[in-house]
Amino acid sequence: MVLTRQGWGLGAASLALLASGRFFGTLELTLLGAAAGLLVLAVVLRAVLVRIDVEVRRDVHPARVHAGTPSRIDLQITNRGTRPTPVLRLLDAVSGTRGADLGLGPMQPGATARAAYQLPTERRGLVQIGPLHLLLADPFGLTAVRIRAAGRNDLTVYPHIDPIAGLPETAGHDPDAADESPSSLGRSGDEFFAIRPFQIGDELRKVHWPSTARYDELQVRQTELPWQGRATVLLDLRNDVQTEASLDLGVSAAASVITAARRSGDLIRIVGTDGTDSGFVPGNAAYSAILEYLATVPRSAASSLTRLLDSLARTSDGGALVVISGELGPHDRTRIDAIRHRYATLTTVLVERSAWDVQAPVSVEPQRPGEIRVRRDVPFATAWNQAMSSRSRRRRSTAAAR
Amino acid sequence: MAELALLGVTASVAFGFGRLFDDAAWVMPLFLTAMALHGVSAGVRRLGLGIFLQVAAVALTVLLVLGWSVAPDTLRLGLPTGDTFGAFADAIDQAASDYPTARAPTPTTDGFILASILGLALVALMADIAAFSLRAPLQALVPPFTLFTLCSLLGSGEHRITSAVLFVVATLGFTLCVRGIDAERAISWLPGDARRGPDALMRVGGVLISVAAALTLVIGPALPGAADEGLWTWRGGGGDGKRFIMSPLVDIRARLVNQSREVAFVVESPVASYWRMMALDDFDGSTWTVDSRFRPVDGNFRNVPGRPSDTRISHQIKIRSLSSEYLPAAFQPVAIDIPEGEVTWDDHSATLLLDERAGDGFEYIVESVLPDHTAEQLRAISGAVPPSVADRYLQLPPMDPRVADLAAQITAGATTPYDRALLLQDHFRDNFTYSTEIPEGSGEDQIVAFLFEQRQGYCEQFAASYAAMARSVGLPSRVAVGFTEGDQSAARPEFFTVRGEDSHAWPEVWFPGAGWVPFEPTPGRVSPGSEAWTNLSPEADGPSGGETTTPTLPEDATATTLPDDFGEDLFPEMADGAGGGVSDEGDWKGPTVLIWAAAAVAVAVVWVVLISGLALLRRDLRRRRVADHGTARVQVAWTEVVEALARRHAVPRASETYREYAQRAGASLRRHHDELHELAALTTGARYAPGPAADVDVARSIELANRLVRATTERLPLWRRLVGRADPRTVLGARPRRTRQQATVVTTT
Repeated sequence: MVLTRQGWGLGAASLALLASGRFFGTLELTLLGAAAGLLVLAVVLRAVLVRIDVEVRRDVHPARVHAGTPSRIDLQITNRGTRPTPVLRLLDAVSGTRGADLGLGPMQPGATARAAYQLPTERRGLVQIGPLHLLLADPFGLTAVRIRAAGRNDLTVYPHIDPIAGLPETAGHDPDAADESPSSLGRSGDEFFAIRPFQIGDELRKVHWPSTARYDELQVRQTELPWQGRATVLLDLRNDVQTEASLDLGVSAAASVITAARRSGDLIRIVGTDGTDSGFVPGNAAYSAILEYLATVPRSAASSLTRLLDSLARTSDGGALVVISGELGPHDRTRIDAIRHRYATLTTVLVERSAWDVQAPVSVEPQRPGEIRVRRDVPFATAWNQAMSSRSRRRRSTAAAR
Repeated sequence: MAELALLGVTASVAFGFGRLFDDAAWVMPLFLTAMALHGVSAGVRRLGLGIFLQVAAVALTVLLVLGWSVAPDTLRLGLPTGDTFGAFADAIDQAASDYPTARAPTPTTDGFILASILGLALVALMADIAAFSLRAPLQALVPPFTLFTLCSLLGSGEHRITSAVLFVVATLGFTLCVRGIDAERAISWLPGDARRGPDALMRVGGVLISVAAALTLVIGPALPGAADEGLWTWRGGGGDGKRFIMSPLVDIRARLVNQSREVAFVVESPVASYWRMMALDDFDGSTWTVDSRFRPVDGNFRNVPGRPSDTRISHQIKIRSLSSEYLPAAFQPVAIDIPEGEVTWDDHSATLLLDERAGDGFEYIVESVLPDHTAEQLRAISGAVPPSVADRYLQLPPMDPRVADLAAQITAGATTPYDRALLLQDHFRDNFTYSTEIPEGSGEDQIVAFLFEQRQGYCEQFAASYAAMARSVGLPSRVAVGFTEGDQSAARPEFFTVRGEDSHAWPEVWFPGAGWVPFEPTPGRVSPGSEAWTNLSPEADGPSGGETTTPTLPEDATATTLPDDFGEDLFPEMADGAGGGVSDEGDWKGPTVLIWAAAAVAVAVVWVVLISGLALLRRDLRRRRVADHGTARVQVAWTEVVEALARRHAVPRASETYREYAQRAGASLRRHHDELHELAALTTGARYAPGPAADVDVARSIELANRLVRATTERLPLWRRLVGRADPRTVLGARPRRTRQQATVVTTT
């Protein structure tokens, strides 16, 4: 509808004035009514007859962003018509906010104007942008004509990733490995596996001379695949344990862990209580997919953590297991401890209430080994790095003692 | 800016008061009130003093304006004193007494001016507070609209279109200003548009307002039903104030004083006569009333034992703007013929009453028997007054004994009742003067004052005093109310045009055997047909005798009262303005508009000359100030060019260098952008180089600047150049506004 509420109101007032002018026999009221009616008519005619030929190009910079990093939309508005544009308003809907509302002054034919506005990227999630409308209004607010200028765009805001120290001992039960139980010392096994060209650093003992003679190049016997670390992240999404804020912290922790594991070349697998299981898939695509999943994963209905833990224990191939949850009760914690022996390392990350609720008191429960508690004064990265360094110190001391 | 617009709204409402008043005495006080009030409010607001102080300051200002306008001679040093308040009270009393009978356009009296000033001040104050302190601009328009509508309903037919269109323009302009301010503040504009955007909005709004106003001026009055009478009349009078209610005696003064030239009714009659409506016979000391008993009549309703010498006439009366149930007719009516409605008749007071107010165009035919007494016949009458007559027509309330004494003294030499009546009549005609300047009223106090102090009054006083005095000497009498014969058309002498100003009252005296005989104590008037017994002749006491204040037309000017195009219609349709004052005003519209237009043009020319002169002066001063410093001179040259460019092409940004600006602005200069670049380079060099600018560079930059400024102005159309000359910003030195970076918007660099 071209007329706004004020427009209809003025039209009704015009009719009322005309009627009362006739009723009382006063010319002035009739004139006032006529003036109001003519104004409405003039404004409607202008709104209907004005031709706008405006092209709007919208770009998101940067297209891929993590929570906390600013991202903005760049608009380029060009007047493709032959007449100057009237004063327009740009209305761009952005999910989670009021949207952008910019005033655009008259543009000469062929002129270009640029504008930019920030997107809400403080939290992870999916930001839906658009569609972009141009609003032609009149100075009295009586008409409003909307013209669609750009469609929808989506921006995925990935969770915030802290740079943390990598997981230790992600070595797992490689099904292609010869040994059942890996040890951190000595990597060579007995079984011949493959021949590959010599690389600087290989031991001379391993050189396979017959192949070397054939290929005129040093060839080396490889007995085992270079072991690939495996890291499994179990993300607790149950809505009776997690709130939105605590889940954000947990997801950020999960993303940081996964990024750190990827940096050290381990295979990563993410398992969620909503039934998601990514499996150990190598490569960038899998990593991006996991991040996409983490960007938008909501809380899920309450389900049984125990059953999931059991299935994890059954299908375990070793490696590291990181369980990320909110405030777990002692029962759940015991169940988690029960599958410790199926994995090389088990780390539990618990997001305490004080981390996301500014009014909650900071608890003073001590950090148990293998457990990382995220508090208001101890953010995840700090707690993780502390835990990892203390664990490696312990290992060194144990190893030294051995 | 919005404050000026609100002042415009108040001013347009003040202009609307022109519909109420006759002369121009209201102009100065009302406009002064408007300006003072808004100025004081703006000042108080700037000082941040709050609403209560604003109201107090405004009240003080209004008091001063009131004192200055209403009672300037009671002021001391321009400040009101106690006498001033006394004058105010008097003015209010006067207005209260004038209001019930006043009809627009009325002459401005102090009381009305006082009331108007107060009303306008109240409305303007409410509007100001609502618009600027409470930030409700649309609600702020309600009080002015109310006052404007009130004036519409009370006002008359002049200046209506003008005041309505002015009001429309002012109201829309105010709304536009408010919305423009909102747009500037509330909307985040793209960089560079923070000025252009709202300006463009205001421009479009201005165009829309002009279009709406122009169309209203043209189309509005042509709308169906625009000029018709209202379906519901207000104050018995619709919006044009032409109708009036007839009520005995009270209304006479209003019509007399207002010199109402509205045609009340038109009579076609073979002879001239007073057209009588009713008679009042009950005097209680303050007012004259009548206790009537009506019976329905139709056709012939009275059998008058007439003498052969009595004249029997049939006359047709067509009502115009007389809105009354009483039907005027020549005395004494005996038969009536009406097209519709019911007529009742009171035998005692000889009154014909319709069942509703006779509307415009109502016509009826009355057959009357005109008495044909002679002085000898009346003188021969003697006899007692029967008790039935005496009870009713000799009653007097206790009065000042001087009245009866004077009556006895006047009639001392008379032997017959007729002579007594004649002596009384002559006493008034010879010793009193006619004047409408005295306050209305026919009660005892007024009679006493009239008889013994003022000795001047109008027909009400003459008739009432005569009746009272006649009763005191035993003559049964009553006060008849009606109209004089009106203007007799010279072309068709059977037509009489009777207007509001012909309202009249005269006494009737009862003589046994003769019945009621009218007399005429009012100097300057003669009842046609009564010369035989009143011993008056029309020529001797012409209308000019004794009438000092009534500018009625002399009788030989009646030729202009009826239009010449009669055709078949005996009572030609007269346009509403033919009788009244509207058509007179119509002749003035042409010259008035031209005068205003000429004044506006003169003001515009003076303004342009003034501004361009000042701008030139400023430029020369600036140049002279930096004549010695080469560097500064180059920069001044650059500033001049930027000022010329900024108004049309590009506003300089705070973050731009000279070259960048030249780049941006030069794009629209086409032929001269090389020169702009060169000037930018010179300016940069002058500003940032360690030494002073070389003379050759200074000269070159001056030359370039002149050439560029000339080029920019030459490219503009003539009207734009004129507007640029008239732009006060060239004098005030307001820099073309640098763009403000909005906090929420990030520009790509």
